[in-house]
Amino acid sequence: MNELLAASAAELARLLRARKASAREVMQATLAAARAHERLNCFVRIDADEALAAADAADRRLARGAVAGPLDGVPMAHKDMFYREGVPSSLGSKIGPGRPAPSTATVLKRLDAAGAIQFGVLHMNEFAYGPTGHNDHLGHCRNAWNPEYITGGSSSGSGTSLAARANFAALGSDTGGSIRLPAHFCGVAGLKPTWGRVSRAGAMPLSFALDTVGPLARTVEDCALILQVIAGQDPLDATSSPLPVPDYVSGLERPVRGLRLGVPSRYFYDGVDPAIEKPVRESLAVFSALGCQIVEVALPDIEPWNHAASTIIAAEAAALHANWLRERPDDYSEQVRARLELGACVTAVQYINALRLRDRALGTWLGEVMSKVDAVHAPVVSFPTPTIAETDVGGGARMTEVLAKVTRLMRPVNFLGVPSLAVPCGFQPNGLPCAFQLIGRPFGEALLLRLGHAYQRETDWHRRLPAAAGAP
Amino acid sequence: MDETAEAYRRIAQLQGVAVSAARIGSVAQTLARLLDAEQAATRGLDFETEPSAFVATLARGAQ
Repeated sequence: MNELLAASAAELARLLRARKASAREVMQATLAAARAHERLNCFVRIDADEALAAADAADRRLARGAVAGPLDGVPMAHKDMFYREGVPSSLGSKIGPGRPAPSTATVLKRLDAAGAIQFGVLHMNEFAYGPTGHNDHLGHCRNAWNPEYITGGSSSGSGTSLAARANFAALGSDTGGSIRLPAHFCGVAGLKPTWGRVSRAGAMPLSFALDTVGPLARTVEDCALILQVIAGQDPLDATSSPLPVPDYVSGLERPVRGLRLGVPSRYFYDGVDPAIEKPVRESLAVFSALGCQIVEVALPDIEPWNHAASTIIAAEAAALHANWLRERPDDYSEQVRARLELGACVTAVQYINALRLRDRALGTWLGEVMSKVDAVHAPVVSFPTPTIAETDVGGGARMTEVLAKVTRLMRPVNFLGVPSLAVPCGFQPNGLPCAFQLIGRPFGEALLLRLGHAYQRETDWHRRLPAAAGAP
Repeated sequence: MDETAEAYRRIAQLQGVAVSAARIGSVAQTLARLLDAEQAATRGLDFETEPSAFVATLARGAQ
């Protein structure tokens, strides 16, 4: 593997600014890696000529000392749901490719302005409505650690392209775990920001009440760097928050001594498999050695929040897809169609009451949990990573059970709207990676990033490479 | 197909969505589960609670 590909996005940006590498050579190596990993099925499209031209422009800027921004010359590919004006996004679907995008997503504009170079678009679950990385239209996405296993979804290509070192950072979306799940399954970092922290303008919607946009990256530092660029109010997204954006990057080095990490006494560890529990609990020893206080924290009954999130996603997705569901039902996969049909049967009262429950749930969470700890530390999933075949349930009888199991530790966090950071913390006996999640206060991304970065300074899980990454 | 499942099939049909007979039973079961959980959870909700209160609580929670 070209050694430049082993660098994180932040390290690469520093190398480029110091002129120790050229944007062109980095882009050429990235494109070669992307092509070499074709069997992972993580790229939907690669725009090599445009990317190389943009790399040459970056090299000219960097030679003049006119750095465009903190990501100048860094190659990135994103989940194929962030619009570029006039360019169709597949949305992981049969319907998407026929729709040229009306405008460019705010997050892409901000990354462009920071100098990042988008060289392609990545695999995703159909319309981001699936947590495993299966896709009947594009073919299933494959895990770089073992191609027989799932990548997680719906930001499937984002997770596995990073694990394979065929991409430096990626945008994903998280409505019910779609950033944190692929981060866990593929062994990379992923940040689901607070609802409203990052503009969703020009990003394909799934559920307006729950959708968030955030980074997946090789390191927590990279997540901070990208969040710094994309966060902040946007006049094109009325739900984006006016709260000021802190300096996430410089805050990374602040000490974590004395911070209180809460270990949930219920729900998150219910029925957890030892393959997951062992690495997740072992990560607490690292935080303890860093001077954090590890405290058990009693959670309220959050199962109803999981159900309420399911109701909201189902109803909002069905509303968004109502026209296509009537006019082009056969263009959906069996699973997505089945889920949208269910959403069409949710009553208005049921949907509105799920939304009304949200304020009280958040108030309870803040009062009973976050008043006692600075962050909650928990697993991302409770079971060993399954194979693609084991979870290829389509729209059949096992669909509800499998999807509910995968998203169980995710959805309550989306319901609360709070941030959560997934950080790799070891490996399962099957050789697949494992992550913990840190759940914080609203708009408390800086503290989560600081904790995650401190953990990664003490560990090297994020530096481990799958055998497949050596292929190019 | 029981009465509940048939009612859901009709609701979907009124919106122009044709749910197959093979699927409507599981739709009804899933919705019943969600509805039970929600009714239990919202039983004590204040009469005045409206969804927009959530955004204000989210912003306040930042402090």
